[in-house]
Amino acid sequence: MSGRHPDDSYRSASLFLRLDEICDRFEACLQAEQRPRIEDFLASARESDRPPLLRELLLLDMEYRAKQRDRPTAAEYRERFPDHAELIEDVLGRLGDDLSPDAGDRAESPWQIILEVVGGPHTGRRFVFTGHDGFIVGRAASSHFRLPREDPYFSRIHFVVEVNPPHCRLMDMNSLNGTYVNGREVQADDLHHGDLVKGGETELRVWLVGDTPRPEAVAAALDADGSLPPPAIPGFEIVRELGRGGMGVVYLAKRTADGARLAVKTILPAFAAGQREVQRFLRECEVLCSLRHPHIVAFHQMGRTGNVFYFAMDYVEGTDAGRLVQSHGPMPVGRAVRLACQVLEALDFAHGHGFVHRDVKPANLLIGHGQRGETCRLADFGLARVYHASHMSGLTMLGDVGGTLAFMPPEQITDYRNACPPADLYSTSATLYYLLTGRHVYDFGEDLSEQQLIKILTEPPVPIRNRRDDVPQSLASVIHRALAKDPRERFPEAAAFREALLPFSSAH
Amino acid sequence: MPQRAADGEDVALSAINSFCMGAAQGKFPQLADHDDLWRLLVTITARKATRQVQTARRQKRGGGKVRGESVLTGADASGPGGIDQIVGREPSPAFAAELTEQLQRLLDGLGDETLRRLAVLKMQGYTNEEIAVELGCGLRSVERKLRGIRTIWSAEERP
Repeated sequence: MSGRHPDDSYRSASLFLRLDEICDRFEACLQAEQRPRIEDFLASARESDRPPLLRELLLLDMEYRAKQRDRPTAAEYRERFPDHAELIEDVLGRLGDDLSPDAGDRAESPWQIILEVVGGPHTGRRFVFTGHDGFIVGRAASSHFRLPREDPYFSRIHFVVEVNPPHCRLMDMNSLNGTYVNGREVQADDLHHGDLVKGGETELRVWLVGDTPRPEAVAAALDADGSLPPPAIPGFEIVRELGRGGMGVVYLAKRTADGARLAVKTILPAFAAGQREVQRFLRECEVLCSLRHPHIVAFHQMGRTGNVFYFAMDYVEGTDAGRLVQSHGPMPVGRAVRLACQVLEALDFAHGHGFVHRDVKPANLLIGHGQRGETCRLADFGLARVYHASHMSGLTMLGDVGGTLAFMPPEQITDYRNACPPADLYSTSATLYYLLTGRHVYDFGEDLSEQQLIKILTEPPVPIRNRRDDVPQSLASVIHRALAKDPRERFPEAAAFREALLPFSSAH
Repeated sequence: MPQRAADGEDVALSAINSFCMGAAQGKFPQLADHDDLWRLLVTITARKATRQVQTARRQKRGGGKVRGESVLTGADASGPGGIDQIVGREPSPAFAAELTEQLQRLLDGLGDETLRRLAVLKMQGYTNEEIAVELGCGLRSVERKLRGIRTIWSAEERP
């Protein structure tokens, strides 16, 4: 009974009885999962009762939403009840300490995107996003917001929303009846605070809450010829550009201290970030430095200069597997399998130490020559995961991302925030598939990214033997097992996948 | 969990009995909490008795309703005496009877069956969490209704 406050009773018994009756009705609706709106109940009370009533309704709302892992913030309530900012502060402030363990997480995130269902059979449901996430709306089992048996106009996968607060983008998934934003039918659209999204009979309202101004998009300062001038990185002398990837440019550089030749990857973040987020990002990246394995490209040093992040890592003289296939065509079975086995060795080691790569693809397989012939080293370990988890990446899944979806497992869309080892197994298998065929697992052709997403989520992979008939059936089975949509149907770990591949590594 | 209160008087009586036994065994730490319902009940009872004593003195006449002054010696509502007197020792039968009568009256005054059940459960020492389960409502509602009960009873307390 500690923590009581002097005002812990009501002005009068009759006031309590009036409030209690409304609160009981509100709670009954909460229990029936009808998602009642505080606003409606507030409106049913007399004017002078509203502040004490709001206090009670907020407490109930938070209690029941917490059960659904939905943690409202003061900012959200202030947004909804601008006249009661002080009261909201007071109610939430008192709860402060006994909020959930998530409270810390939320504090890290300056913005929240809330999608609130305001029309259709699920009216009142709310989905809160504080970090980078994917959100699938449709009738399919893999949807996050599984709609509505009651809404016959909804497609299996109706639309997908990618969220990285404060950014939010919607993409219609070729739905039968279309997706509308503020009454206008759209294929893809950036969502903003207050937008109304409609699919079938279901309507979602977009809320952006946060106290911080929106981040500035970082504009790159281009040279006269339209290219980025190499940034000046303290302690390094840039020798030349090695290549460009989805996240940034890689340079060959000489470390001034000892003359060592290192590859330096630079990332120009899509959006500026506060000091706190930058520090957190670099702290997480530094953990990656501890990962050392013969088949992993080691990070040595990282930091920020101006707007640009840089990551100094081993320089592998040679090329990458993506370029090899582009210039020489599909690889012989034995060679491709040997490279994949080396990747799996690295993954086995890293997974055992709690690291997930999350971006295995041919371009990240750096091919060099060692004493025992061709060796493969896996680059960018974990960098994509750390970068995409930050607000600085903006949106990466939907939009003009080109080929980066090709090696992405379905759970990276359906369960964005949990990168698990099986995701790497899928991507390794998709990479092997590409090395063997020069083609992707699905017929992406000129597909836009929403069509690619639908295929990844719903279609079976194209059998590899349709693309290349000299791939042994037994090898094809191994590859397709690792491409299973359900992570549990893949190999239990990298070592098991590697073991299944080994018999084919001596083929020509 | 106890049976649903069929008979208010029985409930009040059994609550008082368990309270008195518990008090004798020193089992009621919540008496230290100024918001506790027991404390409120004892305070109300003591005040009422004090008033009756004063009235009786003024009238210089006992009258059948006035219990002996000794029952509530020092049980002044403004001080801790009323509480201290029953913590750690068995209240006199006369005081127990007074409490029962008062509680009965206060429970009746709640008017709402849920509030009555809640008050009794609370006074029997159940935690708010257990009461929430018993009543099939959330913790916030238990807290709200308890605040309401205190509000109603505190209003009773005033002459």
